[in-house]
Amino acid sequence: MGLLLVPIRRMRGVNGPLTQCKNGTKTLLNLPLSSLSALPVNQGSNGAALIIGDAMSKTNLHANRPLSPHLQIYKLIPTMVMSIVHRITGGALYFGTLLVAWWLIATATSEAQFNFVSWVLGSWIGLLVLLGYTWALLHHMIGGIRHLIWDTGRGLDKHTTTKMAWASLVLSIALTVLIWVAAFTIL
Amino acid sequence: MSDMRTPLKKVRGLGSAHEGTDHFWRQRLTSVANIPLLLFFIGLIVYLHGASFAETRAALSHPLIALVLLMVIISGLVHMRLGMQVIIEDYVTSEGKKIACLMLNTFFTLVVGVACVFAIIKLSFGG
Ligand code: HEM
Ligand code: HEM
Repeated sequence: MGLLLVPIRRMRGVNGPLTQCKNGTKTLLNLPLSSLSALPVNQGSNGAALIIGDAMSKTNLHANRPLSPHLQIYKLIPTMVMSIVHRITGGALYFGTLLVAWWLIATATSEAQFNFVSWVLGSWIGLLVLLGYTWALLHHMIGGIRHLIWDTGRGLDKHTTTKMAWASLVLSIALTVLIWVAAFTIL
Repeated sequence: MSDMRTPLKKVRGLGSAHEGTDHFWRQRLTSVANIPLLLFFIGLIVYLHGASFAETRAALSHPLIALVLLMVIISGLVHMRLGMQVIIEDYVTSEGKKIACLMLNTFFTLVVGVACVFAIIKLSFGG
């Protein structure tokens, strides 16, 4: 029985076995990840998937080598989206630090500068940016806590990660609303 | 001995990038620190919402607020630089451009950091 090393890497945001294509075909990616490193293989019905063990020539191996379908083939699942959003929010927060620096510098400079920043950030477009920044920060924080939980080896199974993905979205939106309501009413 | 790695290399445990798990670890460390620090920051912003110039300056120059705010800035910026480094290493494949981006990442972090720290110190010393 020949073994084939399958060159596949784990995809971000997908902790369990990968995954079902939009057109319904399942690929070798449905196997548990742990089995992928040394995989006894069989001829797949669609020809693209799997290859046999025993008497396999080198040419055959190349011709039948499974290709990784392109990104758009895959159905989006919540964990993928949250992984991407974690990165996007991290990037947004990165550039958002410019706003923090501007606000601090202006406050340290003069009342005119301070009033100017307050005016810009208080305009409807400024408020929209700040609302987005609040959500990005909260979502990134909750996503980060999710990462820290995973780092302890907990909560890695498919159903839990999917629940955590939805929970982080709901929680981040709820907290954003709460904070803005607090900022505008109580104080 | 079938293992080609020298005992020294194993003891150092730094691997081929010569960094070991240092990047990962510092990212986790700053992540944990960021949770209370940025909650504080959000609280501060909510508290200062609609505050006048004088009120804002008074709050920011209060020693406790200033000290914690410095930690927010430092932990946040170290964390964000590490994070952006990973993003750059993932997407910028050409060696030259990658090095340029990594340099810009460090410069950006330093510029923002120095500006924030300077502002906080200036406020604290009543400038
Ligand atoms: C066979 C399918 C796929 C494979 C093998 C794959 C593999 C990878 C690898 C190796 C990375 C970088 C590794 C890392 O950062 O840890 C990555 C990152 C990424 N993948 Fe995939 N991927 C697949 C499908 C998808 C799909 C379907 C999407 C979205 C629709 C997607 C979106 C992304 C994004 C946005 C990143 C970079 C952002 C991030 O790292 O958070 N990938 N993928
Ligand atoms: C509020 C608390 C925060 C927590 C708990 C947190 C947590 C994390 C964690 C665990 C990661 C690593 C994700 C991974 O390994 O894929 C990460 C990545 C990152 N963080 Fe944060 N973070 C926080 C705040 C911030 C802030 C304030 C910024 C920017 C100013 C930031 C920018 C980034 C960036 C750019 C990345 C890289 C994203 C990526 O590689 O996909 N984070 N964060």
